[in-house]
Amino acid sequence: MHLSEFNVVLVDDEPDVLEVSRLAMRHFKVYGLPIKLHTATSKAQGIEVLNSLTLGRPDISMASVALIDVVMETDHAGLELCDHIREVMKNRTMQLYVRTGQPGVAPERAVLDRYDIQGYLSKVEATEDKLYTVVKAGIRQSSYVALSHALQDLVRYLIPHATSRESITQALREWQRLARLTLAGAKAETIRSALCYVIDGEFVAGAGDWQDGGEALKRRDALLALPSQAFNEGEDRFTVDGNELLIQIAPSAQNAGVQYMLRGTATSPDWEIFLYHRYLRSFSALWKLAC
Amino acid sequence: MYQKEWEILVVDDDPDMLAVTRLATRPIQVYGVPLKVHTCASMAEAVALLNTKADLLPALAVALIDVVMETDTAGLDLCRFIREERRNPLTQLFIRTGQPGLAPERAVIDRYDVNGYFTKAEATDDKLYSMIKSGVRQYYWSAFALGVLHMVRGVNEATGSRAAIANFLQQALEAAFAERTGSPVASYANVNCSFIFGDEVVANVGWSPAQALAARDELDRSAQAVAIGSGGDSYTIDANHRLLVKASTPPGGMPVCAVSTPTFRVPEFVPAVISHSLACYAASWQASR
Repeated sequence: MHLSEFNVVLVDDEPDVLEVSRLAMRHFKVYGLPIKLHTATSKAQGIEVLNSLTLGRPDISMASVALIDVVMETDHAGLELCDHIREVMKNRTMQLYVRTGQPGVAPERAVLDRYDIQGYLSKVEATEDKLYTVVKAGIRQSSYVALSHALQDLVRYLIPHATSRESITQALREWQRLARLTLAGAKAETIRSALCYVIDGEFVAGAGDWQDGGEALKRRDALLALPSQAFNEGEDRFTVDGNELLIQIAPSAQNAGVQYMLRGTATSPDWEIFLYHRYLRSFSALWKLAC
Repeated sequence: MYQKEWEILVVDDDPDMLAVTRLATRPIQVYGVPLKVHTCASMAEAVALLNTKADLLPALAVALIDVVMETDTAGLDLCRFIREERRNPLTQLFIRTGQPGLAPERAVIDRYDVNGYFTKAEATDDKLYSMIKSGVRQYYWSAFALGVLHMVRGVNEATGSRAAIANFLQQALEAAFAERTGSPVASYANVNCSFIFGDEVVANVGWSPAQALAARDELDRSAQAVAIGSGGDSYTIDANHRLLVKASTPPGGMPVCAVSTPTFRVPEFVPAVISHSLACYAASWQASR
């Protein structure tokens, strides 16, 4: 996890609904992290809010879940906002839930057939417990799919640079820099993670607090001293200590020896370790290739 | 892409619930593909089904699970079995309980990695429809992307030798469409798929390489190509759902494409993910001899 809080967007033209939802979500926690709620009262304002949460590229958002009312400035304003997120912003990882007070105007089956959303709640169904489920399950799902796609994007971004190790290192640094900026170019304050790559014993690149080798290598040595676990295949290993994660790719004919260290904002769930491992196998093969 | 049905599991100790769910889900289609609904009356029966039919779980899109069966937490134990013991993050798990008092919504969501929770009163036919439709879409997207990530990793690791890349792609394709026993995956139909670099069919299943090249040329001529992003990738789908995906390569690079015969008109993310992986394969191919 890289964010210090999870962002949830709530769009509804009734101020009371926004206020009640805000109260209900105040104490929600996912992976031990709090929720930051962003509200809007129309489709137009919703687009503004979503644009402000964009990270580096229009299709990458800091928002994990959006709960969207249907009937606002027009009868289908909310559904059009869903389309905007999927078709214009091209974001497929945000979990979209429609919440409507007038199910007659937008019946459940018709909405699910036509729009690429995760769920549909009438305002009667949208109890506080249901809100809890939608936000919590939505954030987990969105975190998983967002990371799996981000790592795939990163591999594709690095491939043209696999001509030399300097070039890969430059590309990696540039990617890390962009991944920490909003679309407007400001530093994304909610990204609080630190990470670094140590390859064949040498510090190569880092981000956050670990931009240079000193402190990072000290932490690496501390993690190396702890018991580690094997992955299902091969000789690769990983170590988890609180919010810190160390993954080691064993050197071989195809792979460089890579140590990847992450200090996240929460303890890495199993799926996060698994996805990073898959990515690092590709990365270490690219590095080996670029000698 | 080749699914002729989506695998769904319903677990409930009330035979009436199973019968009603079967009826309610019968007409549901996702991307025009119908459902195959498996039913089990207990956690033990579900675990036995997943253990004996070893290839079911990776293909299982949605599971709808009752909580109180042979024990008060049997359904929740089944969720844990799927997520933790079988390490499956992809199947969309929905709890449907008749006794919310024994398994309150928040406690369940806190402790178990499930995708939704409904009491039996809340789980109307419409809700079932939403759950399955959005669940299958979410599953398919994640499963497809993760499968491709596996292929990209394998090709990266084979870089250096074109023979090794071709061999890996061929093995990966064959494995994707065969059960562990070697027989074809029962829920797949119409499996024809080829990766073509330049005019060389590098990996191929189903049809012959000559048929693959002919299909590529035909699609190239007939239908209208749709751009993917702004980098020069594109895809074409014809009236029979046949799919051609072309990835852009650096100047001087050879053209690369994938051509296949899906059973349904694939959603836009499928060609996008494929073009992505093709660019990766092409780069590895160029760097190899």
